[in-house]
Amino acid sequence: MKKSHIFYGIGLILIALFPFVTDNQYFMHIAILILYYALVSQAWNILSGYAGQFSFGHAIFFGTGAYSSAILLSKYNISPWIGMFIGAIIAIGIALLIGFLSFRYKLRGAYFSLGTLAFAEILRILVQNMDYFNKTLGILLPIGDNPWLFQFESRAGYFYIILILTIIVTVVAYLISKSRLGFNLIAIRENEEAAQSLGVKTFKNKMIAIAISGALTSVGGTFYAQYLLYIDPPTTFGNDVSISIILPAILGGMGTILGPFMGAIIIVPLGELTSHFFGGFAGIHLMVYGLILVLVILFLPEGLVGWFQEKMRSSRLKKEGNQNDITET
Amino acid sequence: MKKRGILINLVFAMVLLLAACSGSEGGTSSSGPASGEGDTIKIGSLHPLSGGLALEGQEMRDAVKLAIEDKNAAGGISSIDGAKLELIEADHEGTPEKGVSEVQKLDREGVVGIVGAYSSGVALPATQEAERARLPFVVDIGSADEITERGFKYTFRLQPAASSFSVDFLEFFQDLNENAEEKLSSAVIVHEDSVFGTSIAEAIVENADGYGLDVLEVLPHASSTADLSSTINKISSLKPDTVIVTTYLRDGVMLVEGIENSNFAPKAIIGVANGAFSNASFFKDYQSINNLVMDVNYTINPHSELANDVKERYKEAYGRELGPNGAYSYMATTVLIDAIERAGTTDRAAIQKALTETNLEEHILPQDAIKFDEKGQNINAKAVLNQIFDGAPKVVGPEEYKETEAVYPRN
Repeated sequence: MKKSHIFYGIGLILIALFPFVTDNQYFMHIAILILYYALVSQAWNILSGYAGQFSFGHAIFFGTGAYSSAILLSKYNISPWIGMFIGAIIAIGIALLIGFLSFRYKLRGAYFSLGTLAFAEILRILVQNMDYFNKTLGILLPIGDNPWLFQFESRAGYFYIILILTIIVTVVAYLISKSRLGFNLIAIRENEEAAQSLGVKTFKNKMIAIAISGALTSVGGTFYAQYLLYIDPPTTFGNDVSISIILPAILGGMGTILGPFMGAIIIVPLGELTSHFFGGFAGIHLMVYGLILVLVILFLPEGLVGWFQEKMRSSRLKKEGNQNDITET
Repeated sequence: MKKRGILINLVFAMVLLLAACSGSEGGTSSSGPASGEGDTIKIGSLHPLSGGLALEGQEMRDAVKLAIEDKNAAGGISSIDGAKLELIEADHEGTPEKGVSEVQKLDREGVVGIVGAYSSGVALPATQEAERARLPFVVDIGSADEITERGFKYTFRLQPAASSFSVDFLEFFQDLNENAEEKLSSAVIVHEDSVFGTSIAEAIVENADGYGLDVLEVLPHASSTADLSSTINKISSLKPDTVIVTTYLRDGVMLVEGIENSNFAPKAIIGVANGAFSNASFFKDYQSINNLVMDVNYTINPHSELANDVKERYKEAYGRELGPNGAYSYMATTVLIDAIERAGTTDRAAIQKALTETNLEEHILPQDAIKFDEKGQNINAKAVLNQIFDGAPKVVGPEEYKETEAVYPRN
């Protein structure tokens, strides 16, 4: 048992005890939002942080998850627990289609980002114009307070569900990062041609990454739909959604396991704090929020976790350097 | 590992800070008088104060403020020893998540009721959260039918619902044609593509046949669009008698400007619950293009003396005209205050009960007494037909609220 494992274990227990510390609905809501943003941002991180395929349209998968479970529940009376898996399967299908179109035809860098952005818009406009999806009216989910319907009377229910889901997604990301797949993805991110010349099947690996990332993001979408019980095209397929999925990972550190969680734990309270302190003057809090984000990204381009890792590495190097000095003299 | 420990500590410190600062002060965002221990009764205002709908949201927040100040000036809530009212304002930025978290925040601040929310997309989840918290929510504006269709006990709405707007429009259209020498029939519907515009446009198309309206084409657009030229080209090529418009402020102005600058002039431009055509800034700032534009909308009763008094005081206090949105916010707040007065307590359940028994005859809206049906909808809510003459809107229908005769067709 490594020290770090004990540390994470204690951290987890502390988080899990949160509902016992407060029954305040507002803090519970904030905690749920933090975990939920950590989840979707982590899912994005797999494709964009590790594999370096910067997606600007993760709303595609988010909306797919939200709409799949919502349609299944409202039209066919299928529990969102099942809808969540069906949503994930549909998201994998869409992910593979997008992946095939983009990777097969070698869309890279900014072009891949633009491609995903366009796809999200296409889906939004499709949903917005099809009667089956209730057009722009969105879907209002029936209220039941029935755990089988993925609804809970108290926020603690939602809290534990999103906590478990976030842990699962984080563990998946961790396992990937330590697996052959993870190393392949990082190799692709660093230099795709070099990776390919060393025998890494870049197309296959990127397809796996986008499929996993899409499926996990769609789980976040299902949770969002069940939590707010109302979805419409702009709040599920809109550009704002894609951006809010990306932000925590960038702030916390792309391509790190703790990054999305750290980003979310800062970004959500930051939004609340700025609106608390500057809410009296309409709009100012958003400016302050933006300013802080700009400053963080300006001074910590690697994200918070990236910055700490860098610091630790350099201090370790220094230490080793000192030891070498000693042995030499 | 130590460094990471520091990071975690930092995060916990931040969470604690959040807890401490929002717990201790009881709302820095309140703009009313500082809350003395339990003396004041708090009312929440939940409107979009920033973002694309900020202008409308601020207008409405000011109207809530005016209603509260009016009551305080009149001696406060007399049934609770003249207790004073205090406004707690919240900004939902037009997003549903924020709407939900602001309702919780207001709940924590101890408000006895909320007035909001302007966007239907926010009103739906926000009223749901209020229902969970058993917190009375009086919807001033928010037109989606579903808001009052979910069997909620704590949701009340003043504005007419979307479906009734469409029917009102069709009836006005029929009346106009009956009295006009030249009958108009063909129309193009232009609407913004969120719940608001879509639900109204769909209801018009569905019932158009029965009222002699021939819809040639329905043209949706995103309210955030920067360009409506394809819509305008389509209109000029179809050459309909009338253009029926459901938009927000900015896109509505853009559309009318575009039509004005094209080589085609429709015989009537009629808004339905239009966010632009009944907006005070549209009347004044766009006089060159707005003449004889019509709008079927919720509005202020032009024959009410009380309304004129409120309008004047609003202008004095905030330096701008009281529009229909503000009028509804003012009345929604007054309805809530009236319920608190009758309940004689700050108990929310008692206030909810008082709200269901509302029968407010002294108001500034063009309707009979304000009363709610069992779903919480203001049953007497009515839309009127406005027309803009030289930069000022005049009611041209129905008969009982008429200020002048309609000019139809306009050219």
